[in-house]
Formats: sequence, C-alpha cells, structure tokens
Amino acid sequence: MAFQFTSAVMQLYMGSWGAYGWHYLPWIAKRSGVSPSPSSSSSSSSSPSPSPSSSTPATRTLCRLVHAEYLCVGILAFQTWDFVASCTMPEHYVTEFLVHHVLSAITAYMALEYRMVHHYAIFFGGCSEISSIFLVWVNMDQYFPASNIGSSVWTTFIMMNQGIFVIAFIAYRIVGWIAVSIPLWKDVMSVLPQPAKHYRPGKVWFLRVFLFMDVALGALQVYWFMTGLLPKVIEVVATATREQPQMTS
Amino acid sequence: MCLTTSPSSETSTSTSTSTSTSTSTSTSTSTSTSSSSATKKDNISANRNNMILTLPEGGGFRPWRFHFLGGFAFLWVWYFTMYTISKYIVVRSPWMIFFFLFVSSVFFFSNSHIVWMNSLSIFTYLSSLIHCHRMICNLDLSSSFFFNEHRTARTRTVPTSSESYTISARRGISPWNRRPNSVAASDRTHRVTVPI
Repeated sequence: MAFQFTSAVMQLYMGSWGAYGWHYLPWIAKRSGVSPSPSSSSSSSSSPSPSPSSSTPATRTLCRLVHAEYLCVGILAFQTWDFVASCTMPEHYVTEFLVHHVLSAITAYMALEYRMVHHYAIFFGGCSEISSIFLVWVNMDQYFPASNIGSSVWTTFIMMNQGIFVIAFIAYRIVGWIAVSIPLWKDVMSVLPQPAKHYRPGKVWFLRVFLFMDVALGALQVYWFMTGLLPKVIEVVATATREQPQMTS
Repeated sequence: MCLTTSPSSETSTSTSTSTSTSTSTSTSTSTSTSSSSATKKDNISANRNNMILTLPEGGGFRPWRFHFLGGFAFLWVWYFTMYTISKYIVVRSPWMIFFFLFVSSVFFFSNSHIVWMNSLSIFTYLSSLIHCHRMICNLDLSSSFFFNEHRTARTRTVPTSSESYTISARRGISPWNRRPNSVAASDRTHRVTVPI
C-alpha cells in the first residue's frame, strides 16, 4: 500500500512532466510560431554547429533541456528507490522488474551526467509513465475491492482507469515507443560521425548504449503487453461477450 | 525556451569577441573566440537560456546531484510515512488516497526549485505528528494492523459519526483505559467508560 502511494506520487510527477514537455510545450510553440525546443521537426542536418533556431539531430541529441533534467532526476531517484524497495517485497522481487529498474536508472544517470538525448528522455522517461498513473488506481482495487466498497462511483472509477490504462499503454509504450525510436535511431546515426565526437569527445559510446537501452526496454514493454496485458484484455472481453447474451435473454 | 550554440574550446587568441542577440522570442546566439572570462560569460548566458551543446569542463558538484539526493530522501520519508499511516490507521475509504495525493501534489508542484525541500518538510511534519500520537496514546506499534486478521477482537473502533477510521489499541493502554479499574484489554471490543 505504502509502495503504491509512493509510486503514485512519482508516476504522477514523471507523467505530468512528460506530457508537459512532449505535448504541451510544442503545442504552445506552434501556436506562438516559435521553435522552443528541438522537437517534432525532422531536419537531418549533421553540421557540427547547428543553427540555434532550428531543430537538428545535434540539438535533439546533445542539447541540454532543463525540464528533461528534472525528469531524469526523478527517474533516477524513483528507479533507485524502486529497486531497493522491490528487493524487500516478494511480490515485486521479480527479475524483469529489477532489470527494468536498473536499466532505467543507468540510462537516466548517463543522460544527466553526459547531457545527451534529453529531448528523447522526455518521451521515454516521461510519457511512458503516463499509463502507470492509471495502473496505480487499477491496483488500488486490490486494497479496496469494488465489491467490498459497494460504491458505484468507485467501481466506475476503477473500470474507467482500466480502460485508460490499456489505451495509454498501447499508445505510449507500444505504438509511441516504436514511432519515437525511429527518429531516435536516425538522429543518433547522423550525429555519431561528427557532431557528437566534436561536442562529447570520448563519450560517444553512450549514444550506442542508449540505442541498446531503447531496444531492450522496448522489448520489455512488448513482453509485458503480450504476457500480462493482452491476455487480461482478452479475458475481460470474453467475459463481457458471454454475459451479454445472458443479460439480453 | 531557446536554443544556444556555444562553439567554445578553440581559445587560442587573446582578443575576445562576444556577441549576444536576444529577440522577443528568446532566441539567443553567442559566439566565443577567446579568453576564459568571455567563454565563461557565454556559457553562463547559454545556461540561462537552458540549452547548451557543450559539456561543462571539470568536475564539481552539479545541481542535479543535489536534487537526486533530495528526491531519494523524499521517497524514503514519504514511503515510511505512508507505511506508518497504513499500518496503524486503517484507511477504510479509498477516497482518502485522493486527499494524500492532493496534499503531496500541491507541495510537489508548488515550487519546482525547492520542491524536494518542501516535500521533505511536510512529510517530516506528518511523520512527527504520527509519532507524537504514538507517544500520547502509547499504542503498541509492533502490531501488524492493516486489513488483516488482527482487526478483530482486539480493535477498539472510535465511535465517530462516519466510522471512517480505526485506531489500534492492541494492548488496551490508550488514555481511556490506562486507569487501574479499567476492563482487561482482551475483553474490550468497544469503548468503555471508566469511573474516576
């Protein structure tokens, strides 16, 4: 319970920062007609001195973003805490969870230390946590079962969160993950030969590590979807379709 | 938010040129070709503009490490506070969670610069309250008391109108029944009045 509470606060924080940095800031920029952050644009220049007013692979992979820094600090603190706390709880002491915490924490630490991929950290660290906000409420059903509470509002609330969680998981952790990984790979491949070596001498290896983390953590999301979420959704749909004819008859 | 390009590190000449143009849309360009003071000035300018391509030279304690330590400490304080609350005060209504989240969120997002300090202070305060409560009521805090079998005969339900919470009194030594003539703890399942 305390674990869920603590996770809820951090996921709310990271999800909000992710949505703010990935969706809200570009939207504001689009409305005001300026280019505030190296997002959304897909120019493929690999000049060592990128234009300050345009979004280039170099700015997207090597520029410092303050709100991404705050987000990465949150990820590092949360994943480190989560790893230690999970080791003390049998239900969370699962290899894939622990691997996820370690990989995420290492990636966040390197992004902070070497100031790289801040733009993409907003999506992978922030937006991917949006679905977890709803998962926390879904898990609350374990502690406050809707049948025991007897409140139709609570039951509706839990069901609503279940639906939003599934949609958000697919949107951000499956479809969005792949959609953002493609420009990430393009950007990293284009900056690896020159701009990265110029601005981060001796630390270019982190970009390759980040690509590996992207694939590893992305594969973990697909694994969780295929083994955990999809069977549950199929079960719920099957139950609903079985009950529907009974209700109509 | 704006972009800044700072092609530094080629610093061989002694003359310095520092050009900075700032428009209403907060776009700034700084070019540095020289002395360390000019480079430093440009870097400060670039940092103010949030985006910089070059990595700062040298070591030193970077601000994010401070925030990390604060955040890590906050998580443990918050975790143990919640643990204490969930262990000794049974939360019967799930809507109470919204209250906890609301309070924490308000302090969390109130000031991004000192967010960790704010959070730490409020949750430390909350922990202190719970410990004071323990001292005053002298409750036995070694009992496991959250939605389990212990919440049966050894529970004293506080008779509030909504019956929204329950406090553990496993050994029956709360202020109501610490007096010599009080009924034995194991026999008590509800509030008793003790004559003075």
